[in-house]
Amino acid sequence: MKVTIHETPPELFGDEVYRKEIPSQLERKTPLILEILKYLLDNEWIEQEEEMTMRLVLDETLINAIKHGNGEDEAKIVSIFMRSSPERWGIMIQDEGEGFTPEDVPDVNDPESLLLERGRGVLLIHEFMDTVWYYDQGSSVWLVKARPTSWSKAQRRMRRLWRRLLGRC
Amino acid sequence: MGQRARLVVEKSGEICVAYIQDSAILDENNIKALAEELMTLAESRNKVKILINFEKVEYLSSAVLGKLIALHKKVAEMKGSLKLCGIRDTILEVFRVTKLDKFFDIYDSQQKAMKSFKSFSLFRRG
Repeated sequence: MKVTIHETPPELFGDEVYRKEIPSQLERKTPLILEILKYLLDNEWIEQEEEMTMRLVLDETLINAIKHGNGEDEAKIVSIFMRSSPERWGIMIQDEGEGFTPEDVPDVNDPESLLLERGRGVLLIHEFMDTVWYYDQGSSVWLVKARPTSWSKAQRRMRRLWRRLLGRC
Repeated sequence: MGQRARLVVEKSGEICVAYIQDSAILDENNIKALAEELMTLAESRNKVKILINFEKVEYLSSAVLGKLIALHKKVAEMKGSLKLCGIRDTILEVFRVTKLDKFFDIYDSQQKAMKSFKSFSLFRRG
């Protein structure tokens, strides 16, 4: 998996439905995540069983912004907004840091990187979201996910059943 | 405010079964405290046998995976063994995506994991 930092902002869609700014304090992370998750679940933009992975995505993204981006400097702000259309929703998370270098993100698909103790957050974000668009040297990220449909719900149920039939993996 | 234990450890013969008490292991302090308790357990004796029970865990972050890898290295240094059990499907997905489901010895249930320790011991004696 290769991380790309785009030179242009992403193409936004739909209407803005949520906006918040927080100072770069790690203790602000969990209440914000719970508020966003409640919004996503109440509006049925995610299924109940996606709550864990979505919480993980938000946690990884906000840690990157608060800690690695803004260096936990309380004077620096992390901005979040969400937009939605009938088919999909997106969340933008922006910090005031210098961004990052894609080469510094280990490739977990490389067998030599398998046992590294860090660097899996970005992989997980890519896995669980449909679009991951870094720009502003990596200090902004736009994450997009399709809203559940009856077909995607059925597929998820089939996958779960299939895995149970196959055993633990 | 005193720190509460993140783990309850029960001994079953030679095996230390470590039950994680937090349902969410996301915050840095939680992760650090849990990792320290696990590391102390790993360093407690040579050939330590640890089974971590994840039944109560509903959420974890990727930082926990890093700590488990560090723990695995420590247990290997002590010539012991580490197994995981009771991981719910949503969390197993995280292990799967990061390919760590093949690296760690993971069992559906505590009973199966306990049996595997025993059969391994018998095999080694034979």
